[in-house]
Amino acid sequence: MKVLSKKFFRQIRQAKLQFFALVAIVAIGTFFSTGLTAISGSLSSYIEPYYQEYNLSDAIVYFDALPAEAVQSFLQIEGVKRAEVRQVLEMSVSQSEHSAKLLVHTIPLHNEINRSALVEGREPGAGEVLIDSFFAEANQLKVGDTIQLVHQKSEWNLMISGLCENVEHSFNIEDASMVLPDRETFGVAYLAEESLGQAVYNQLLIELEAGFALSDVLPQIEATAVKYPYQYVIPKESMSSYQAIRTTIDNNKVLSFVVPLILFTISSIIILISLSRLVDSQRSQIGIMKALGVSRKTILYHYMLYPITSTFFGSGAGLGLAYFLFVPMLDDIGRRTYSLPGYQVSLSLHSVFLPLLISLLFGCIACYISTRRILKQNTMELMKPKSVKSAHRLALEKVPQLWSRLNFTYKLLLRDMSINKWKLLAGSLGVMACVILMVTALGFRASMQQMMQRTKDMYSYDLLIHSEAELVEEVLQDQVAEISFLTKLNLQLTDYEKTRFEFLVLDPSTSHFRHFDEDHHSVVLRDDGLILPQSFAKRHDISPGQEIRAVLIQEDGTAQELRLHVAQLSAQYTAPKIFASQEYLRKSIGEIAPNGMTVRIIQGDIASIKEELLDRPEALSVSTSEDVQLRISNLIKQNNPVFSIFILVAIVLSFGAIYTVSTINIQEQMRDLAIMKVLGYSRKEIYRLLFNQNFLITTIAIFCALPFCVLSYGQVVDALRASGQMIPDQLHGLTFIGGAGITVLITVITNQLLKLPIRQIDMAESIKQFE
Amino acid sequence: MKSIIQFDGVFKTYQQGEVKVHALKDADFQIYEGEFVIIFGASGAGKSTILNILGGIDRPTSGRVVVDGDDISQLSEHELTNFRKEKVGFVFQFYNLIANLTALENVAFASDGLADVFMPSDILGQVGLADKQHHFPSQLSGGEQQRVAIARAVAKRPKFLLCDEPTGALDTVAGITVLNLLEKLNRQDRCTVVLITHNPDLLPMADKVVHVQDGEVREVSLNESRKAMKEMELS
Ligand SMILES: Nc1ncnc2c1ncn2[C@@H]1O[C@H](COP(=O)(O)OP(=O)(O)OP(=O)(O)O)[C@@H](O)[C@H]1O
Ligand SMILES: [Mg+2]
Repeated sequence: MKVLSKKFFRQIRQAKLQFFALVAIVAIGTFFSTGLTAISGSLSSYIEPYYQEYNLSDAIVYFDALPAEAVQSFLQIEGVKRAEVRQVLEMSVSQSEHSAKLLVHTIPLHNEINRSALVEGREPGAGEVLIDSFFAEANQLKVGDTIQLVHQKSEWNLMISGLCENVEHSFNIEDASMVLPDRETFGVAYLAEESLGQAVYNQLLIELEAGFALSDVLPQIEATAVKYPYQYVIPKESMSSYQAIRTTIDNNKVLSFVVPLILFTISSIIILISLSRLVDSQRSQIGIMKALGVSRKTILYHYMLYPITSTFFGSGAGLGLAYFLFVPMLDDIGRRTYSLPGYQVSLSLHSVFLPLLISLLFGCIACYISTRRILKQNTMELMKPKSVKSAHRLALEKVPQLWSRLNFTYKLLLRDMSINKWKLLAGSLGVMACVILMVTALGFRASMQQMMQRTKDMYSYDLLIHSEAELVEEVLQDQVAEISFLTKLNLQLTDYEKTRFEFLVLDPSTSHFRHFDEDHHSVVLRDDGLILPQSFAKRHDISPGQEIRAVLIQEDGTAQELRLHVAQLSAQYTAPKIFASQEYLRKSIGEIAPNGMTVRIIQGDIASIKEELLDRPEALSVSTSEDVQLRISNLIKQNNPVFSIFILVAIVLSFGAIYTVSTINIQEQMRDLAIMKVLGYSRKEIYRLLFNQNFLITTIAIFCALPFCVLSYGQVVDALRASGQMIPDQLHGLTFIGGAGITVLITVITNQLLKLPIRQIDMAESIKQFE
Repeated sequence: MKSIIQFDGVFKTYQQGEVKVHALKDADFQIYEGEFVIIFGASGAGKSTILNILGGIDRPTSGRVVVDGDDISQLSEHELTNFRKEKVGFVFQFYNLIANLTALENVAFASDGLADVFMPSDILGQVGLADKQHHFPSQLSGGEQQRVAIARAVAKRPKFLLCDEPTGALDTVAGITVLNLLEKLNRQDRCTVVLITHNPDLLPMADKVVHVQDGEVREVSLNESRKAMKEMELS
């Protein structure tokens, strides 16, 4: 047996790259599986105790105003364990250059629900505030610093007593349109009730008794709540943070199973064909071993070494890659995404068992299938030369006009392909997976870039200044090229979870804002109604022509209930806003004076002008159109590593598939190729035979991949949509051609690598052997 | 008569790890145009090595091999390929047909792209396989396969027909058919034939016999009057 295993390893060494390709595919499968399991595993093992310890609320009831005594009536409901009231306000941080906002919460007395996890410092006393540590870091704020918070012309100067995170804001985004939190512009803060002066409670936190579901107690909660100016109840399951984390855990769990399943299917098909070949070429040796009394089982085990070693090497490599490459990256992404204190993505060693098992199982089945046929034959049959898989005539040959025109290399190619359908399938599957990954990645990237371009088209001002007109004249003087006045207000949509939007009332002649639909056709602002963000309208089934109830909130905090007409929808990719013309505002609300302007300047550094303006106390806020683009470019940047991994995997897959299938081809057709050489066929013509075969595989794969590309790209877009992000969703023909082109390029490169083994074919050696 | 093949101090050495195997040691001989030559010797003597070098599918370690005016040991890869394509027809012991091509296609494949060649179907008719043109090699007997191989070798009207034990895997009757074919090609088409065998009974049918032993050419003997196939008694 020792001799046998020696021989086996010698054979592996001969097919080094082929074995390597196999190992690489197993490694990628393991890499993804363990990496994705690491995300869902780390997150779920972190989050449950975290929710427990800091007691995530089971529901939050929103009110306009709620007296403190009301808590008692909620506590009387059977199933409600605790209830706490608090006030939550969005405040702007006045010295921030990013016009940052903090969602400020008062901490209820004897706080038990949604407690903050202190990261640094201490609980806030009077005149102190606790802010979230990521916001602090992004804005360079430290414990001991004082910040000034502004809410409707009231100001508070508060000392930062500590940094914290809170369970209810573990995925802390400002609005649902954002894929990732922007720590510079949005954070959360907690302070003692007395620090705000007089608190007007607007939220009630509810914790249920164990064994009660929210649906059991919801009717009573709602019945109690209607006694007060009540808005709505948001159950835990609908809170954006809770939802986002659950979705991430679930999706990654599924993916960590599906991804290796696909990859290991490909690898086992490769094992199937390479082992079938190996076993075939060793049939007489198997015969001798059997004649010498080696049992069938022993021989089978011997071949099982192939899937077993490739699995172990592959899993090891995949695990290593995941550990050194994927986990630090995921950790980084995790930290940028979630506001969880001390959260770390960690790779659990036992997550390698699932992919290892699948790979082993698939590999061994493939091995069993490929060796079974030969092991079943008796010794006599094995000693005889193998009956060649007989070539047969193809359907195409029934059209002699066509067939006779075909070059011999094509005839050979087509016949070989029709005999070896498995090989064709394995190769095509690998390449298909490559095309799909490539097109999805490129498509996603193209969409992002399109988002960027379209956003640039929408906002063409240099500065959006929210301030009195005199200031602009004073600071900018003759630098202004074009100025356009607008009114910046807030609109809260009553029937849609009271979602708040920035409401910009524009001069219809302005060229600083342009509006487009999702196909980037221009939408012109009309005088008969609002332009609503399309993604929002879609999610809530709002269509043009509809009336909606809204509350208009002016700068001084005065609220006014209105019925407004939705005239049009526009595609907005970040920071969605509602637009209307000044004429419509006049008609439906009455005269409201402009409170800001957009400016295009002649020359000068926009950033420094912005600074200069912000230094003035009169300026409420200043933003540039680049601020909007920055959000998207951040999104693109954050997706870069994911994009690179997609491309890398695609390349390895298609290379692995094409290379293995080709080298097996060369080994199988070694004699035919040698005969071609003997007959005076040049190297070029022999290359062509094999290259055409690879191009055929690639072409078939590209065409078969097309519908899957659309599907897979759709999935990615849908996933983003589900999180509220609007994204251009057309998969361009050009993207597909790009992905296909790269795949062809990989084929060309693989082909170049195949030249060496072809060149090494020894004619004198090959013709000596009996088939 | 002018010499068309000339071996001049040809060495062929195989390096096998530490050991050097001398397959050919200082081989010298000449062959004239239109001759029927047999290379004769024991197994392992170096016969195939000579034929392979002669046909341009192997290169000598040193020495001159002049074939049809060119020293083929000096030819480039590309020139050597053309040399094989245009001038040489090979017949091997193990047929070496291409499994995925029919008999007819195998023949046509070898002369594809060359001018002034025999019609593949004619030549298959001549070897008695007119009715099996569209069979794949796996559907033919060994003798039939070897006849296809010969048809393949001669279809291009080669200057040299090189046969490495063409009857080795055949029974006597099939073997005789094949030898008859070779003789006919030599006599009627004036094709230079070089045949390897270790069957001494065949020697009388040659014009010249090159005796090889342990990588050396021991003797080149000439038959004053060569025997026709029908005069010979082969069993
Ligand atoms: N690739 C090779 N590597 C090493 N030695 C080789 C190689 N090919 C041939 N030889 C050696 O060269 C010598 C001559 O071989 P060759 O094939 O020419 O013999 P032969 O006369 O044709 O024998 P046979 O009648 O058995 O075919 C032999 O000793 C053989 O072992
Ligand atoms: Mg030989």
